[in-house]
Formats: sequence, C-alpha cells, structure tokens
Amino acid sequence: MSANDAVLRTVGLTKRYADFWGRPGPAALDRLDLDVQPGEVFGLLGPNGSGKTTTIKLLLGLLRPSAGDAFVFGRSPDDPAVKARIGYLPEETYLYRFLTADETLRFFGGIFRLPAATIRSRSDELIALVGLSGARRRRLGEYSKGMARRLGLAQALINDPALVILDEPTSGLDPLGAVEVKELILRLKAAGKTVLLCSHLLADVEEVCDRIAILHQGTLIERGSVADLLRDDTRMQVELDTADPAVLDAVKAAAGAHLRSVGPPRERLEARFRSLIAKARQR
Amino acid sequence: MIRPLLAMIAVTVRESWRGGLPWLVLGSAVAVVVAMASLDAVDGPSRSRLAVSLVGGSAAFLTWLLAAVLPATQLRRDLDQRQSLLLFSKPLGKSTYLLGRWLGTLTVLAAAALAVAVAGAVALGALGLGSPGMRRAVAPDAWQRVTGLGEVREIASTQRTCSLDDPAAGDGLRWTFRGLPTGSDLDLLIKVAVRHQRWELTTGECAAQVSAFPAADLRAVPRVLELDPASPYGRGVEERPAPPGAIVLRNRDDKRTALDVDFARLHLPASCLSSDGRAVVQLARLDPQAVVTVERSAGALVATPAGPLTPHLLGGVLVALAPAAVLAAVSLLTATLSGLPTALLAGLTTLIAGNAAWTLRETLSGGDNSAPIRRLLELGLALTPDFSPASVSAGLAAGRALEFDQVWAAWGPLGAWALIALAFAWLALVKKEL
Repeated sequence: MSANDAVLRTVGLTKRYADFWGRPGPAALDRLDLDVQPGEVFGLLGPNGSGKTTTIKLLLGLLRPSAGDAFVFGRSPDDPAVKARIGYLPEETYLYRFLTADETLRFFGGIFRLPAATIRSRSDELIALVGLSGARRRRLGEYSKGMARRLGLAQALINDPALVILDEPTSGLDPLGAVEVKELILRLKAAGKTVLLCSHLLADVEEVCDRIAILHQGTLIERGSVADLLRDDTRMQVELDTADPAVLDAVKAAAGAHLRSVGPPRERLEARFRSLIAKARQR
Repeated sequence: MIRPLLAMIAVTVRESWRGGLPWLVLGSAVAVVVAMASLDAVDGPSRSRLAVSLVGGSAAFLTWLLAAVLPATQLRRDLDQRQSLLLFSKPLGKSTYLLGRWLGTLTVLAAAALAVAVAGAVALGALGLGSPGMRRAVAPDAWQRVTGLGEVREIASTQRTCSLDDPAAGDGLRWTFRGLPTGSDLDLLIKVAVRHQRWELTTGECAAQVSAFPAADLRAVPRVLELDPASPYGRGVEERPAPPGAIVLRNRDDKRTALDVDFARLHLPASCLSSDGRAVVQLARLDPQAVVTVERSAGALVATPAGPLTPHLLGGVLVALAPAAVLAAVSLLTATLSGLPTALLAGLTTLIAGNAAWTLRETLSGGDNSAPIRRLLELGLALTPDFSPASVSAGLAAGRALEFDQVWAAWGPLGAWALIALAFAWLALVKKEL
C-alpha cells in the first residue's frame, strides 16, 4: 500500500496556536508525518497535551494547519464530500440534551442528507447495537454518561462511514460496555472500514489496533505495528499445559540461570469479570 | 443544503419549545388578556383602540425581546459546550448552520407572536371590547389645484403639499380616485393643516365645501357631500356652526393619522362613482382668512371596508418580524464574536436603538443642530436599523388596514440589515477555530 492510497495522510502537519496579538506559540503539533491505510485500525497514543486531539481536529477541518498538509481520502479535510464519509466520536459526548436518541440520530441523518427511510432503519439498527432500545424516547438529559457515550457511538455510525474517528470511545463505559466497543471496532474493521482510535487505555489499543503512533509534546516519537512494537526478541515465554512438578523441575533445570519466573498463569481481570457477569446473568 | 438547513431549523425550534418558551408565551398571553380586561378609557371605541394597541404592541415586544436573546444563547451554547465540534465535523456548512439558527428563531418568534395576537383577538370578542372596523384608505391617483375662478391647474408630481391661500377664497383642490369598489356608499376622509393668513394670528379651523362629480363626470354639476354624523369634527361649535352645505375643517398635522379621529368623514354616495371605480372629489376653501395646507398622499382618502381586525392583526405579526429578523441576526453575529453577556447586551442595545431611530430623524429634521452634531446624528442614523416602519399596532388600533406596502417598507430595509449582519456572522464563524 502506498502513501497515496492512504485514507489519512499528513505531511509535515504543524499547528501553532497564536496568542491574542497573533504571535505563534509553541507547536501543539510539530511536523507530523503519518498515514493510515484503508481497512486498518490505527491507534493514536500519547499523554495529555501530546497533540492527539489537535491532530484529529486538523483531520476534520476544525482547525487550520500552521504548516504542512493533511489529506483525507486524498482531499482536503474541509471538503464536504470528505466529511460525508467520516464518522466522529469526540472525547466528550457533545450531543443536545433536549433531544431523544431517535431525534438525535434523525438530526444527524438529516445533516448527512440521508433519506428518511434510511435514517429510520439505521437508527433502529444502531440503537439496538448500542443497547439503547429501552431508552430511545427519553431525552439525553436523563441519560447516564455511559448511555450518552453509546448514543455518541451510534451517531458516529449513522452515515455508514468509510472512516471512523473515535476519541476515547470507552470513556464512561463499564467493562462490558468497553468490551462491546472493542468488538464493534473489530466488526468495523471486518466490514472494511478504517478506524482511527485515540485512547489512553493502552490495553484497549493493544487489543484492536493494527498500527499505532505515539505522540509526545506534539512530536511523533514512535510508529509501527503493535506486534512489532511490543516484540521483545531478547526473551522467551514458555507455556505448559500441565502443573506436574516433575515437568516443572525439568524445565527449571533446562533453563538454569536464564530462568526468571515460573508460576500459574494469571487470568486477566477483564476476562474474569466477563465470565462472572455472564454466569450471574444465566442464574 | 436544504436537508441540513431543515435539520438546523427543526433543532432550533425544538430547543426553544423544550426550553420553556411555551410557558413564557402562555404567560404573556394571559398577561395581555388580564391587562385588556382592566383597561379604562373615556368610551367604548377608545377602549377598543387601546386594547388593539396593547395586543399588537405586546406581540411585537415579546418577539423583539426573544429575538435579542434566543439565538445568542443557542449559538454560545454550541460554541462553549462544544456541540460545534460535532456539528462542523459533519458536512454542515457554517452558512447553513447560521441560516438554520436564524430561520428557526424566526419560526419560533412567529409562532409566539401569533399566539399572543390570537389570544388578544379572542379576548377582544370575549370581553366585549369590540374591534375597530378595518378600513383600507385609498389615496388619490391624481390631484389638481382649482382657482377661485374655477381654473384647474396641474400640481407638480414632486410637490408633496399644496397650500390654499388665495386672499379671495374659493380656491380648492380636486382629487381623482381610481380602483374604488362600486355598488355601495363609501367614506371620504379629509385632513388638512390650517393656519391664519397672518402668521401672528392663530386659527385652527376653516370652513370648506366638499363635493363630488356624479359618476365621476366632470361635465355634471358637483354634488355637495354630507358630513357623516359619526365624523369626529366638521359641524363647528354651537356658537359658530358650519355654514349650510359646508363643513368646518380642523387643523391636523401629518403625524395625526388615526382614520376615525383625525379625519373629517363625509358620505361618498355610490352614485358618485363611475362604473370603473373612479371618483372625482373637490374641496373649496370658504374662509379667506385661513390658509389650508393639504398633503398629497394623506389629505384626502377614500375609506373602503377591509374586513375584520384579525387578519390584519396577524399581518401585523408578519411586519413585527422584520425587526426581529435584524435582532436575531445581530444576536448571532455578536455571539460569534464574544461571550453571552456581551451578545445579550448588544441585542438589547440594538432593540432600543432601532426603536429610537425615529428620534434621531426628528432631531435631524429639526434643523437646529450644529454641523458636527448633525454629522454625528447622520452617522448614528446610518448605523442604526430603523424599526419605526414595523410599528403598525397604532394604525391597526385606529382601524387602518394593513397594506402590502407596509410589509415591504418594513422587510425591505430591515431584511437588508439582517442579511448584512448574517454575512458578518458567517465571516466571523469561518475564521473561528474550534
């Protein structure tokens, strides 16, 4: 895949916020070069203030770059035809509290110029997908943070976008909700969508992303596939399908001084949580 | 653009509706009805006029106040609470967003004003206040001066007034009316300014004879018109009654425009109308010591029935929306540039300035100002939208039908102001980084 086929591409993308007198300040984003290929899930990571949200805003045409270029589907981010193909979930769910879920999706569907029948069918589908069927006629002001976040996810998908930009999608969701979001991301990928994911939750990023980029103080400090970045060729991990002490002794003897630790595997808390909840629901 | 525009209009209306606006409108309507019930005036017709004025004025004021407040609040919320991030990440143009907010606001305001106007109209009937019979005042198509010797002379089309000041009296004016409804008697309304031939002496009355040519035929002998018994003046006083066949005209300046108070009313029989709706009316000045000045467009009018009050009241709502359109646009512009308190202040300032523009004009026309003051006033007038063309409630209360000209006189210039403010708002929003 070449850079020219990329869904998202930035070339020397820079953003400096000017002060009141118009003097440019320090770079919130400094000469960012990255590309996101079609069909991949790309993670954008970094601590607070690293430039993740600035990058997203530049890609959505909400900010103008101080230098460099950004291309979405090969065109300017300002292009309405480009925006029609993007679904965006911001870090906070900036939806109108006086609207119901149905009305919210109808509103955004209207902005995307979707036919009324399409809006109706997609609303039904998305509201069921995000688990809000029982609350679709309640106003968002009555929703919990997690419910509002789910609806935010639904509005990001109302136009069946080719590119989905998710900023902290699991924020405010319980662990099961977070799992559902991750599964949704993988389903989007399977459907051929491209996903740009911003998250502080590294475990989430690790599970779903194909490639990641790490920003620090506006600068790209690392980029690559998750597998390559996390690979450590200097050590090995051995998994046994038995706890037989004789086998363990043999392994210890074979490893000798190179052995660092031996012990029963620890189930991940998230997996344990899911299985406990699933059992409780069956009772 | 249409679908996103409609979506923005709908969300604006929904927000206003769910933000408690219906309660405000209901409260205003109740307050208007209660105030109407407690009105006190010298007689029934006066009370009716006051009530109509109250309804029209209240509907207009509510509309203007909301226009100065609502759009600023909604736009600032979108910017401050970041709904704008989500909105403008979609294919929603900033012009569409602003236009949608503006049109949505006007929709809400129209509904609010209509609700108050309808409540007032219903209350007029329920409280037994009655309503003025609405009349359309038809101005003359042409006018000519008639000398004391009977010569007819043309008056220049640029001449706005004509003074009858022949020392020998007998001079007068002849008006030709066209497009009048035939088949029934009509009312002829006459209003003049009267002063003494000698400036140092005062008089406010002048005897005059008003006649009309049967079937508008200038070859026929003019028929003297009779004063309507309900005319507010014209009979003279007990000590100085009007001469036989004549009426006594009282001084009225051009600011006095109430059809049922400021005009002498005479019967114009149907026989004086031609089959194509023409009438020729003549006024002859009988008092040599009085100078009578007549205004071209409002000196003589034929009042034709214009139906009940309610449609005109509702039309008045349409006219009242013109200043609201300006206020909403200014509100959006200032909210884009500054915080909510400043935007609200700007909206209210525009509301006050727009209603006070006529005082600037009056002060300018006074002619007593120094050159720098005059320039300052002219600058102020140029920068201030004038809301006075939209103040139609007094005219409605006086029984004057709403004409399309008045709608255009309000919406033409004020519509332009609104579009200019919206254009600047769009520029400000385009430059804003979210």
